[in-house]
Amino acid sequence: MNNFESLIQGFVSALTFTNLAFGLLGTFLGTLVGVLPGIGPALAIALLLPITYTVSPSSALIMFAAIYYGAMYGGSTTSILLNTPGESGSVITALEGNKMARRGQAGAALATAAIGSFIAGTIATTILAFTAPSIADLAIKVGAADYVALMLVAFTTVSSLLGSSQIRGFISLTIGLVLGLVGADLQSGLSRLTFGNQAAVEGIETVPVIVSIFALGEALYIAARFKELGWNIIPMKGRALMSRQDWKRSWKPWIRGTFLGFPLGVIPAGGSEVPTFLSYSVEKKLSKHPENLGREQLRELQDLKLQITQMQLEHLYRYSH
Amino acid sequence: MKLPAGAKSELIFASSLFALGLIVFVDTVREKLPAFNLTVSPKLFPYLISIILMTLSALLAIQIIRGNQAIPEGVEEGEPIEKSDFKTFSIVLASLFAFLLLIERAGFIIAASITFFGITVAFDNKRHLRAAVFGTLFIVIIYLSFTRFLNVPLPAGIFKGIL
Repeated sequence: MNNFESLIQGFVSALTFTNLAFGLLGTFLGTLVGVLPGIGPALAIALLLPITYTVSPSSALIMFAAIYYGAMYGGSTTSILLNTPGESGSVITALEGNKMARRGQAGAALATAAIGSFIAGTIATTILAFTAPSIADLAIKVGAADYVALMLVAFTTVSSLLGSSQIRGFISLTIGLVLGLVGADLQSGLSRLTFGNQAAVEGIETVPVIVSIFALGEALYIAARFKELGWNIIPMKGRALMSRQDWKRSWKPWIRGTFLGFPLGVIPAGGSEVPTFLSYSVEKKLSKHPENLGREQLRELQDLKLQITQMQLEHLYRYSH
Repeated sequence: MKLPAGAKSELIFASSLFALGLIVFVDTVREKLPAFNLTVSPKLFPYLISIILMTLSALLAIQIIRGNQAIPEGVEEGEPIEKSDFKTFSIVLASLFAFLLLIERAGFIIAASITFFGITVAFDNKRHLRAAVFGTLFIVIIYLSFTRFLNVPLPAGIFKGIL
């Protein structure tokens, strides 16, 4: 009963006018910063950290959470409209959401992303509130070996599912592995592929890789096709609403995404890329029309990220007490 | 033997992948191992990855020669593929390289403004003066909002101490 009381106590302190206002401010700033291409939720929090110095700890925590959710939403916007994800978790959103936008369904894509995140985030938070300690015990038992196995499943299935050519998919995966090799090996300090460059020793960060592949790749692709296509601005048709069909199609992936993302988000080393890629391949497999179905699935990916924040916030909370 | 149309450029791609694998392999051979013992050598993964990459690129080359070509996004199978627009492409690429070269030396404002201007020229913008003025203004606003509001230092270059 004690846990439950603490939960209610939490609502009491959160639901004051000041704290709600901080929440609103946080989501606003988070969306604003998250919309900048290449800036993901984690970076947005880091950038806006100084703003929270002056407020009380509980308001600051509320603001952090709000910034994170806002940045996530901002990130899905750039992923869908500009094909530029801000962090590894929104890669899938860009892959499929942008295809939807090109088909003139940008509004629906944005709405699905937002509502999907909200629903899954709410479910995950509720589960977390009640089961966090027991799940954490389980999560600690998941070791490095299991995590490597999981990564292998997530990335290989996705490489083979994306596009029509399996061999090209696997080549992309291997190129990614080559990029990951750059820098000093953590165990031995052996510097790999650095060619004597000091800056390369630290390795290549994920965000530059994502921005180069998506944003620069997109710019160069448009340039190479300019003579043929000219200015082809896709109109944002339709309101940002989901039709009845959209709901019907999306609710199952959302729920599945939540339950895939939640346990994986609890694993200490877990990032958001593995659950999102796994979720994507699950939905692709389950889909009856894999070519045009991929789209709604991307949304749940968002949710998975939310859970991870929740875990992080909890750590923050524990440290601060 | 006659190659299918478009196969040549794809073979160049496949061979550059092979070269990448080879670079990884050679680099791994050349690195000296640290003095202490490790259960798994830090060279194992680079070797594995380079061999996989070389094998895959060889397989890709075989597929290409057999006529299994990549289909560009948005193009149906069998449709003719337009020639790439190398003029626009190279101006955009040059603008990006200009950014890389200038960012440390001249600073963010100059580097980004030149890149921005180069890209508007590449995409056939006729009103050069307007593009230059608004581009620079936009970049200055971005620079100031990052450095002042978000406290993210961007390379100041020659404007060090002024802006």
